[in-house]
Amino acid sequence: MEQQNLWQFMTQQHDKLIQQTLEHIGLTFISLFLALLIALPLGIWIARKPTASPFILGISGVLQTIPSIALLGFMIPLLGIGWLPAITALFLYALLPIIRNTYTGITGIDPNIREAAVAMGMNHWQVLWKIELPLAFPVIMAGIRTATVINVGVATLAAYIAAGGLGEFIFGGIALNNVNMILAGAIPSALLAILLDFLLSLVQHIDLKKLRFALWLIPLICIAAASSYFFSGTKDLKLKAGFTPEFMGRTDGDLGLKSIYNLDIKPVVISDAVMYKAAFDKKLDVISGYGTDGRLKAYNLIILKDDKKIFPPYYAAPLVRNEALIKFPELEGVLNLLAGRINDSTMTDLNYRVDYLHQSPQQVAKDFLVKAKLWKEPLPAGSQTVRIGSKIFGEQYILASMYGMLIRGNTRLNVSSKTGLGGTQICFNALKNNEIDFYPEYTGTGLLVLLHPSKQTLNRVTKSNDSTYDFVKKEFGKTFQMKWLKPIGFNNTYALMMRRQQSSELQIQSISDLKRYLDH
Amino acid sequence: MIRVEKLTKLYNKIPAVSDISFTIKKGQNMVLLGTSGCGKTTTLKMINDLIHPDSGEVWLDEVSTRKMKPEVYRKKTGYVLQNIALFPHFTIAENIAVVPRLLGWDKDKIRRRCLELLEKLHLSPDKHYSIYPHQLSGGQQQRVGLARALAAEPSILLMDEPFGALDPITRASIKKDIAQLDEFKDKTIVLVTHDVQEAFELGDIICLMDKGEIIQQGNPEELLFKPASAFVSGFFKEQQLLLEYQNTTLHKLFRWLPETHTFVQNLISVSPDEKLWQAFEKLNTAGKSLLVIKDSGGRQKYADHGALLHAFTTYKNTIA
Ligand SMILES: Nc1ncnc2c1ncn2[C@@H]1O[C@H](COP(=O)(O)OP(=O)(O)OP(=O)(O)O)[C@@H](O)[C@H]1O
Ligand SMILES: [Mg+2]
Repeated sequence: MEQQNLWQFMTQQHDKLIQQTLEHIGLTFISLFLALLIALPLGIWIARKPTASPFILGISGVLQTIPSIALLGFMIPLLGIGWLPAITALFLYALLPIIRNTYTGITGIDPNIREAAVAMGMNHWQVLWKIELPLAFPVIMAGIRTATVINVGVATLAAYIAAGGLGEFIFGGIALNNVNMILAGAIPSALLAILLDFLLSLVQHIDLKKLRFALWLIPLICIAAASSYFFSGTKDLKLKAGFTPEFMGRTDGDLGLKSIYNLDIKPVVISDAVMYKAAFDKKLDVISGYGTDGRLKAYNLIILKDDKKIFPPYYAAPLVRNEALIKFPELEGVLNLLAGRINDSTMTDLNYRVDYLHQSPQQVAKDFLVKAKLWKEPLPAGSQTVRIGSKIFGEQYILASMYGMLIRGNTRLNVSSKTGLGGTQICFNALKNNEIDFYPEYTGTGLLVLLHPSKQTLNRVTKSNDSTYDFVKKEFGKTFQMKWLKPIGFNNTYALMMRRQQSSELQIQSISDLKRYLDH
Repeated sequence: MIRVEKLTKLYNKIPAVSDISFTIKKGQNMVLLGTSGCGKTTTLKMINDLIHPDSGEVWLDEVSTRKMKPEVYRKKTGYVLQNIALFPHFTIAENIAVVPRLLGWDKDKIRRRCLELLEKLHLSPDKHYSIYPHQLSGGQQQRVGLARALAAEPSILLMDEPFGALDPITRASIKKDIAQLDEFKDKTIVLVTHDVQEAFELGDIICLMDKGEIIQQGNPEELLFKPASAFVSGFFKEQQLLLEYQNTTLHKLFRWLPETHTFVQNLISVSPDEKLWQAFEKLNTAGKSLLVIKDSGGRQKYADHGALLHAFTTYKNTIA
C-alpha cells in the first residue's frame, strides 16, 4: 500500500469530508440555537429572581461537569441513537455558559443605571431591551462564544452515537491508526472552532445601535447552519446498519462489503460501546462486531455467515519474542497448554461474564482453568520474571490472566502483567522494544495491521485459517524475530450481526442473504 | 403640585423615613435639607415610586399616584439622580433624548430640544452631542443629568443633590444659570441638599429633616427666625448671621430706617426687594456711604451701615 499524504486523503474523501463538516456545523448550531431559546430567558429570569439563581446555575453547572461520553451514554436509553440524543447532549452543554453569562452580564450592571432607567419612566421590557441587554451584550456574547467552541468540540463525539460529524474521521482514524484520517477530521473541526469564535467575536464588538440587527442575525445564522445538517444526507433503507469507525475504514470491513458483496447498506457510524445495545433496542438492525464478543450473548444477536470470506480469520495465539523463548525455555510449553482449548462459544461466554456480568477477568480465568483441569496452585517463584502484555479489552485481560496463572502454576517464573496497552500498535511496539515478552494477538490483525501485504498475497493467504496462520508465522519470524505459538482455538473475526429474531423472520443467515433481501 | 401624606419607609423594621407630610404648590421650590442618612433620597424616591412606601400616599396635581401607572407619571416627572447615572452606552444626545423618545416625539423635535438644552446648560452642541458620558468631566455629566431630567418639559422636577459633584465656583455659576432658565420658572420642584446655603438660595419652602422625620418646614425666614427646636437653631448656628443678612429684605426693615440723613451725599439707590446682605455688599464694594431706598408708595429712606444694623436688631426683636 503506497503512502498517502493528508491532502490526497482529503481530496479523495471530499464527499465525506463535506458531508461530515456540514453535519458538524448543523449539530453545533441546532443545539446552540435551542440552548439560546432556553438559556437567554432563563438567565434573564434568574437575574431578576435572586432566590432561583443558585438552583438554576447549580443544575446547569452539574450538567456541565458530566463527562461528555457519559452524558451521551445516559442519552441512549432515553432517546436512542442518532441526532436526537446528540443534539440534546450538546444543548445541555451549551446551557451553562449562556445562562451564567446572561445572569452575570445583567446582574453586573450598576444598579444606579437601572434605577435611572426606571426613573425616566421605562417599563420592565424597555429596561430590558434598552438598558440591560445592550449593557450585558458583550458578556452574553462571550458566553455564546464559549458554548459554541465547546459544542464544536463535543460534537465530534456525536460520531459515537450515529449522529455523524467530523468525529467519524477522527475516531475512525484513531481505530485504524491512520493519521491522515484523524487529521482530516481534527483539522476541520479545529478550524471550525476558531472560525466561529472569530466570527462571534466580531458580533460581540458590534456597535450596540445595531443590537436589534445582531439579535435577529444570530438566530438566523443558527437556523441556516442548522439546516445544513438535514441537507447533508438522508439515510433511508429497509434495514438500518451501524458500523464502528474502524470497520468503516477497513478493506475487511465496509469497503470489503461494498467491493466483494456489492452491499451498499449506507451505515451510520457508531461507537462499539453503544452499538450492541442499539441493535438490541431495535435502533439498528445490522451491526459490525467481533465474533466472540460477550454482548452477542447478552443481547441475543447472531452472526451472519461470511459466505464469500471477506473477513480474514482472527485466530488468537500468543505472540512471543524469540529472545524470551530462549531465555525461558519452559515458556513455550506452558503457553501451548491453552492451545485449542477455547472455542468461539466458550470465549463468547467468558467475555459475556466479564463485559456484561462484570465478573473480574482473574476470576473468570481461574474458573475456566479449574474446569478445564489446567489450574495448579502457584509454585514458589525464583528471581526471573516473564512480562505479559494485553490490549485494553476484556478478552485480552482474560487471556493474559490465564497465561499468568499457567506460568505460576507450572514454572518457577515470576509474572508481571502490563495490561491495558491500548490498541494493536501500542502493544506490538511494546513487544518489539522489549518492554513485554508476549501478548495474545490475532492472526488477522497481524496480517492486515502489522504486515500490510499486497492484494494478491492477501487474497491467497486469507483463503483458509491455516494459510493465514502459516503466512503470519513465517513473516513475523523473518521480519520481527517473533514467534506465533499454537492458536488457542477461537476465531474473533469481524462479523455482521443481527437480532436473532429478526434474522429468522427475514430468513437472513448469511451476508449474501442480506444482500438479496435488500435488493428485493 | 405635590402633596405627600404620612409617608413611611422601613428598612429591616427600622424607619428610614417616618410619617412625612408636606404640600408643594405649583411653581414652588421645596428643599429637603438634612444631614447625611436622614432620609432625603428615600423621601424623594417615594414621590415617584422608585421606592414604594410602606404606608402613606402621594398626590401629583390632585391625583393619587395609586391610581396611575408609575411609568406614566414618571415620564412627566423629571428626576436627577444623586449619582448622576447616565446611560453609558448612549451618547450625550441619546441620554438627553431618553424621555422624549419614550413619549414618541418626532426626531426633529427631539434633536432641536437636545441642542437647545446643551446650549442652555453651557455644553457644546458640536463637541458634546455625539460623544459618550465617560468622555465628560463629572460636572459636565451632572449638567447632562439635568438636561435629561428637563428634556420632556416635565411639570414636576425632583433633583437629588444636582450640584453635588461641583466645586464651589462652578457650582455657584451653574446655579445662577440654572435658576434663570425658563425651564425652572413654573415648575414644581423638590431639591435635595445638605448644603444650607443652597437651601436658602433656592428654596421657597425648606423642609429640615433628621433621622427620617421632618423637624420643621416653612419658608426660609421662619426657619431662621422662628426655629421650632434647639435642633433647628443648632443646624444653622455656624452660618446664622450670614443667613439672616441674606434672608432679610430691606422692605422688612423699611419702618425702622431714618427718613433723613445729615450728609446726603455719595448716594447709591437700591430697591426694597434687595436683601440686607446685598445692601452691605453695595456699601462695601461700590465705595458709597449711603443707601437711598424708595418703596412702591414713593416714600424714601436713607441708610448707612449703622442705620441698617440698628433697624435689623429692632426687626429681630419684634419677630422673636
Ligand atoms: N436599600 C436600603 N436598605 C437598608 N437601608 C437603607 C437602604 N437605603 C437607605 N437605607 C437607610 O435609610 C436611611 C436614609 O437613607 P437616604 O439615602 O434616604 O439618606 P440621605 O438623606 O439621602 O443621605 P445622603 O445625604 O447621604 O444621600 C439611611 O440610614 C440608610 O442607611
Ligand atoms: Mg441621598
